[in-house]
Amino acid sequence: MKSKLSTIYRKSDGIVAREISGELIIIPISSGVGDMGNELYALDETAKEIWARIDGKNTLGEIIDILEELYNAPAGVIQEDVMGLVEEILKRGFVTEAVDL
Amino acid sequence: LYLDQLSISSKDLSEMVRLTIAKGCSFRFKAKGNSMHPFIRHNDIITIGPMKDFSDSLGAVVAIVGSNFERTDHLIVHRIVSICCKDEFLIKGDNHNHSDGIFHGSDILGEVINIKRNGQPANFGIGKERYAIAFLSKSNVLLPVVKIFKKVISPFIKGKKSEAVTNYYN
Repeated sequence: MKSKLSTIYRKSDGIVAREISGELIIIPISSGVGDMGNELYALDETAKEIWARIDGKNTLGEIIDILEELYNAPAGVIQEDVMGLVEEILKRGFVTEAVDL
Repeated sequence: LYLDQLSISSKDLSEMVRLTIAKGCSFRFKAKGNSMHPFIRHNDIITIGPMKDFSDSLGAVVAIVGSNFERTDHLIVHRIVSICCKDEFLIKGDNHNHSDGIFHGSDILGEVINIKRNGQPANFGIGKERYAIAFLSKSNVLLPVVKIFKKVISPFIKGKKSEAVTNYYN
């Protein structure tokens, strides 16, 4: 499923996230159990910035605008990063759609 | 990314447990250390779940955040050996001679609901036998009793051992 710039996502209840050694570690909760023995997911600096703004309020377009200003990056580069990450974490169930305007 | 690739502190681990339990879920991780030997051993996989019933918690093995040596905010998984009053619990490692002290119910993150050793269930110590273990541990006679028990029962365990006994002695 392709996300639209107007889509708002929120973090899923089915995860536990904690910053460890500078990386944001996400542990999926599967069948009611968060398992440190299973695969964990680590978000790097850029992904962390995106993750922090997925809050059930910002649209993807707004997140892209904020990050373009923050990083002073050319249009398109940030959008590619944001959409790429969102597709990935959406696929894994780390975020869910909040409202589609 | 796997856990072994991470340098995870006890404080981070306790926070992960806290966050997961707050969602009403359980948290599974590898136990470190021998303070609960022989019932929980180094590298056993333990699952911490929400505390079910504080009034029936004698002998439960619980996760708390406390001080261990010089470290604070340390995740400790030890046994309730006495219920002091309505919401106060004396907690102690089975393999320790001293208790960790008295903790309030609000200090308890959750209780051990499952133990796996070498991929097999090893839950002896968290069933009904926990009442007796708590009494023996509080009296500091648990380890001698376990040794005697082992000597007495060993001659009778020949051939194919039961799963629980096998795991207990491994």
